[in-house]
Amino acid sequence: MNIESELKEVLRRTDPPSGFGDRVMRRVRADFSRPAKAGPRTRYRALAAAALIAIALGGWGVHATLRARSDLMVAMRIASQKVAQAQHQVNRR
Amino acid sequence: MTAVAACGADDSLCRAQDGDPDAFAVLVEEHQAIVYGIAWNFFGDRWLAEEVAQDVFLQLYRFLGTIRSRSHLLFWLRQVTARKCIDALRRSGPKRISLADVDVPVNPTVSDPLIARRLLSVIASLPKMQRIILTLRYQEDLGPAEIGEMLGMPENTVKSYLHRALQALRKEVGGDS
Repeated sequence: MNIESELKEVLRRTDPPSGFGDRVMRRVRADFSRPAKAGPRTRYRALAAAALIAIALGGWGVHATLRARSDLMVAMRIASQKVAQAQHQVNRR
Repeated sequence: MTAVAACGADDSLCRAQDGDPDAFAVLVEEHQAIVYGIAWNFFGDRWLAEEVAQDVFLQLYRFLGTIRSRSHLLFWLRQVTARKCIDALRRSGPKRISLADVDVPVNPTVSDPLIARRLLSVIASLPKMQRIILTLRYQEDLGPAEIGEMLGMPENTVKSYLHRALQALRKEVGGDS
């Protein structure tokens, strides 16, 4: 007797009792309140969209910060020029 | 664009991933003999095998988005089923079965039902790791490297478990080495 061929014979794939698929689907429906509307792929797409929005908002935030910094630099430069002019006039008198 | 148009009408995996419950039911039907078979050959108990097989498909539904291809699905199903079988036995505690107590139903298509019954009763008495490795090796026709990858152990460890299991079977049932 060849034990390995006997094992292939006895350890076969086995179909479950009838109605197995229906029982699985009943459990799926019971365990997931929103079964078909948001499949896993849809959920990943939603997550990707949320990530894109977050990146866009973050980019806009960085842009706004840089712009504010640039405005501040211009304001300081103008103020510095005014102070220099005032100092110049005081020195002339 | 509908899911069917995007995925192809015969691609049940893709359609199931898009949330089509009918396509998921097709996936269950296509793979139930593998999943139930592993659990059945491991436990020899209809109720436990069905419980584990249902849990596997429930988990598949939850993680469907992570499945990359048909071959990945097959690997995932075999791996999760094997792990669930071992975990279920670990939770219920070690159970040494006397050969006299075992009455395992035999597949009616086997050539010699007496030898088959004897083999199944010896398999049922083997330690859980030897049993699951035997099942993956002979039911699913997997090599030691694939089994090792599935169970997270080195190939040589799988070979050693297989060797010990076959030795025990030959000792009890007889047969060529």
